Amino acid sequence: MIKVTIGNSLGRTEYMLTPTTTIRQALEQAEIDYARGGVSLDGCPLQSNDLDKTFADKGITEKCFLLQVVKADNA
Amino acid sequence: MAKISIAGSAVIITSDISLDNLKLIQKYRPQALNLKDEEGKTTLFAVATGESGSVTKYGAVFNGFTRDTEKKATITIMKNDLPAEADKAKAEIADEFGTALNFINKLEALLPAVVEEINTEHAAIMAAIDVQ
Repeated sequence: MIKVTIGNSLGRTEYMLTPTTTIRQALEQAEIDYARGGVSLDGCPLQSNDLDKTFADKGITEKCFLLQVVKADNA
Repeated sequence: MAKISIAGSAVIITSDISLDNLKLIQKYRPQALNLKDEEGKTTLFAVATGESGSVTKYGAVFNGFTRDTEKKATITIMKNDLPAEADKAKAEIADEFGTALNFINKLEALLPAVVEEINTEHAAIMAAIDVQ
């Protein structure tokens, strides 16, 4: 199992997920609207074609941070 | 109580709970597979079933199939660097998987009651279904 800290500027929650969980499944489980801003995995920005990759595909074996940065409309 | 066997380079962790029951809990009570701290806030360890087995300090993923004669859930991990001497190999495995095994044992003690609860609910639903 992988400890994934998922969140955005409002808060972060830890989830225990299998290595075969996709990034999209993880974001949906955490109810993160990933269409509203960029998502980073351990600080590296993800592309849209990364969403259906698993944590194992991304080389994550034990723990990681999956965070969303929402762009403000006036930014 | 979960057990560990070493067969050549393969390390096999065999749970006391069957794979079918583990999948049943994962489907109907996934939160029961998370071992929480005393306050019930932080997840200390979690188990699940998946395509292939793995163990980290945060949890264990059991193989999605089992060849165990009693259909117990198993995790198979290849350890090609195990020492040839049995005592040294056992010590290395105990060091690497000991903590996880303790957590798995604690979870296993809680799961039979969950299975019974699910089966009771399932039986009630089945009784309420009328086929005409």
